[in-house]
Amino acid sequence: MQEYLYRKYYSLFLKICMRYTDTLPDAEQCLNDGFFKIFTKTAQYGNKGSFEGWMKQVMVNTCLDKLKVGKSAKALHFVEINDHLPVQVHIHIANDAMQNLNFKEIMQSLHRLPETYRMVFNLNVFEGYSHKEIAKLLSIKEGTSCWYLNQAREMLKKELSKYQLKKK
Amino acid sequence: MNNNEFDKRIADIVAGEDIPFNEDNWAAMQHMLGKKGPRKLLLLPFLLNPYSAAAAVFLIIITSVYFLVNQPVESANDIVTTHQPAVEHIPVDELPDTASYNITPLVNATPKQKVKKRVAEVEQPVIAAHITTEDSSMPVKKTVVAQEPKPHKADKQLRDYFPVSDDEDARHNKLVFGINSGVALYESNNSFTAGLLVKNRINEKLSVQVGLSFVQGRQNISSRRVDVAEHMAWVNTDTGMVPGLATTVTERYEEYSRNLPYIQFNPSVSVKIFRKLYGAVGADVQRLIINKTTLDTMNKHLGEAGRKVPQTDAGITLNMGYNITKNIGFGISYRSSLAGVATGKVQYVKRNYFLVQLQYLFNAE
Repeated sequence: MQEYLYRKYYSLFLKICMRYTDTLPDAEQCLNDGFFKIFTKTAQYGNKGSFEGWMKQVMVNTCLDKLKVGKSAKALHFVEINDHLPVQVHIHIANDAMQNLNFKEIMQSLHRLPETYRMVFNLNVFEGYSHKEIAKLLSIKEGTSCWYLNQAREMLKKELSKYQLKKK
Repeated sequence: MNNNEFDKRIADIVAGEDIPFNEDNWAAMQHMLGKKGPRKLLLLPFLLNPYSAAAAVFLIIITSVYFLVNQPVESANDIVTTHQPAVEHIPVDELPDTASYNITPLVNATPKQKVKKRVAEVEQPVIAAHITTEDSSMPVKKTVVAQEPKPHKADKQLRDYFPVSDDEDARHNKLVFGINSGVALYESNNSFTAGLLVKNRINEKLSVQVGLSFVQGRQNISSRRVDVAEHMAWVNTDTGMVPGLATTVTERYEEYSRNLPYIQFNPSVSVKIFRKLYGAVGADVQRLIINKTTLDTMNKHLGEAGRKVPQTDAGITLNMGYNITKNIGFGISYRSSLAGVATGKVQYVKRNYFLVQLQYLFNAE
């Protein structure tokens, strides 16, 4: 059963880990740590929601724990943003350019983002957490989460547009 | 494209990618789930603690220094090889009147067989004579290193998804500082070295390392001396006994034990062979830190035996190392001196030896 689950969710969960960690060995370690929790703490799944959703949550929490443990407090320091958000520069990225993007380019661009920005972006865009949930999880204000997300998105667009320029 | 569309597009592309399964990760998972794995060394928990590991290395250094510095300076012994005179020595006053005999030329005097004997201690200044002993291989205990599992095919592709960002560049180029100590083992000679090292990782495979160390080298040094003496003697010829000249050639091998302090500068390039095993090649410059007068006295005496101790000795080193933990490394290196002929037939004393090393890196990743 364990092997079945491991093989079935290997790709999905490794992608999650790869988004949060900086290196492949770290991602693989996170993956196994997460699966270890899943296999040994299955009893904690209280039939609330889907089992896959619970496993995914365990995996994300494992990655977040590793980031908090493995990095200095400075690296995870979120600058609280006031309600009056600074003016943002929006970077335009063409639709056709988005069509040509691939997984490798996205992952590389994602890893060029600062850890805090990447974390908020991951939680919101890939995990589907609301700003309220992110704020609670990371002990920051909702506005801060929102600001980090927008900044991360703009940075990501900037990084992705570099690939498009290279292709041209 | 608005933000929502952008986010959705990104999420879709990522969701659509399938990562091939890696059996190695499943094997690691099984290991985590309680399958029996390789036994950890009992010492490992101790070594994993940075403070206790640093203390252990420091203790080894102090013990080695104490051991070497407190070794008594051995007396010099002479091994003498003597060419006996052609005939039995007869005191000059007992010789018959030379006017009535022909004098045999010196070339006709034939030496008898060599007689080697070891004589008692000869009192001479310890710094009197030096000849380095020749190299010989020492038996090195082989360390069996478990071969790293080959990386999964997918791993190479997956690694591409982690770009070498500026941060990662900075991390790779981060300087690592450490302490290094070692004991040179070579026949009856031994040396102790301790110092600092700085390591800079260029890429995943290559690193540049620079070491600055103090070396206390105990060398057993021997010097060959030849004395030729002539004296009158009776010589057997076809016409009977005639007085002639006989020569006595005495070869003396003076052996001394001497502690010489050096400062060592050792830049090298290391290549990672496996995850924990690496090889290194580099230069090794050692400079004597004794005053010039002492060195000159040594060399003046050694010059008679055709030997000379250089103030600065350049050489090359070859090293094989193994990282026991991320902070502690063990290595064996061979040092070969490049010193050649000083002037004429005077040979430089060479410092060639095997060195067993232990190093501790303070800020290893």
